[in-house]
Amino acid sequence: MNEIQPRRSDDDLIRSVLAGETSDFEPLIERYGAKLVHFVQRMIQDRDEAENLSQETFVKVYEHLPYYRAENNFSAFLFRIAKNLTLNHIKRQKRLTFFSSLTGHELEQREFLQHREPAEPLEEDRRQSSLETALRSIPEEQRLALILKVYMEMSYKEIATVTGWSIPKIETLISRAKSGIRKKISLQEKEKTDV
Amino acid sequence: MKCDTIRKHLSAWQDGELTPGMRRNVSTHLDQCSDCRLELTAIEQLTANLHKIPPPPISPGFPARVMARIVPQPQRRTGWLPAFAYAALFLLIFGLGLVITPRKAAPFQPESIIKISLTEALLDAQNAQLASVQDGIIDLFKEDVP
Repeated sequence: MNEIQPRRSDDDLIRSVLAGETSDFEPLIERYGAKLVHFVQRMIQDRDEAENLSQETFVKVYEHLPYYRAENNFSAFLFRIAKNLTLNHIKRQKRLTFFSSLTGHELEQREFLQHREPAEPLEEDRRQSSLETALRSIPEEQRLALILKVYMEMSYKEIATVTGWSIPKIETLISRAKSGIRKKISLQEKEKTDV
Repeated sequence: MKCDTIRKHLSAWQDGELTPGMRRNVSTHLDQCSDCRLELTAIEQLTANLHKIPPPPISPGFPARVMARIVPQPQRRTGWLPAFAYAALFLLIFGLGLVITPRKAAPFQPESIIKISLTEALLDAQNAQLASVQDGIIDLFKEDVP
């Protein structure tokens, strides 16, 4: 008769990894992997790159485990690293686009980025497609705060732990993010009706 | 409170993140202002639509691919032997500083002295031979005492 193994806590698994049982890191990946990929892809849209960045995040988390404090939330630790890697990636992409425009290769770069964009959503929902486009268009900080709230279901306090921002700033960012998305969607709808 | 102020807090009100006092103020205003109630409805609708976007599927084998990239870190050292090695190291550095007196003839070369002494001490510690480590350290100090 198979015994159901009790679910080991994050801290218990981390202690085990630090004691030399590297394989005990895998349950943490299974536990948080989907959520992390979801977060990164909402931030950068490119599915392949999102998975690559997520892998990189877990590798960095593993390397920095000796600095993890048990009184902190592992999820916050994980997403803090993910946030840094993701924002750095976005900055690199912007620099790439900027320098391409300086060298006159902007068109090639745009084609390159378009090629790297993910496939159309399977659901073929025009409203969801508009929503995703609008989400892509708002500033990164607003997008980050909104994604952590809506998709990662973090409280403002948890978001503050991940980002280092104050709670009033987080409230403002999320409020502006929602307002910005609504304006973009209205504009998209207006453009469609004007055509 | 004015509508402009209230609308800045509607998102947080919906998220359940307002302080009790501010929550009461917003609730009271919403009871009396249909425009702000419409604004709140729009925010709620947007949040509901955002939730409808399904999460991207994670490709199979993702955990295995991460594990393949991980280089196992050396086990974090605990116990008395590494602590003794570090204590020996500290004593060597400190002790050499005390017993080495300035000599006019030979220039002071702390690095070479320390390097040889440290190498010997660390090699002994690695071999986990407590007695030889102790003897080694004692001999080093004996040689340097005038």
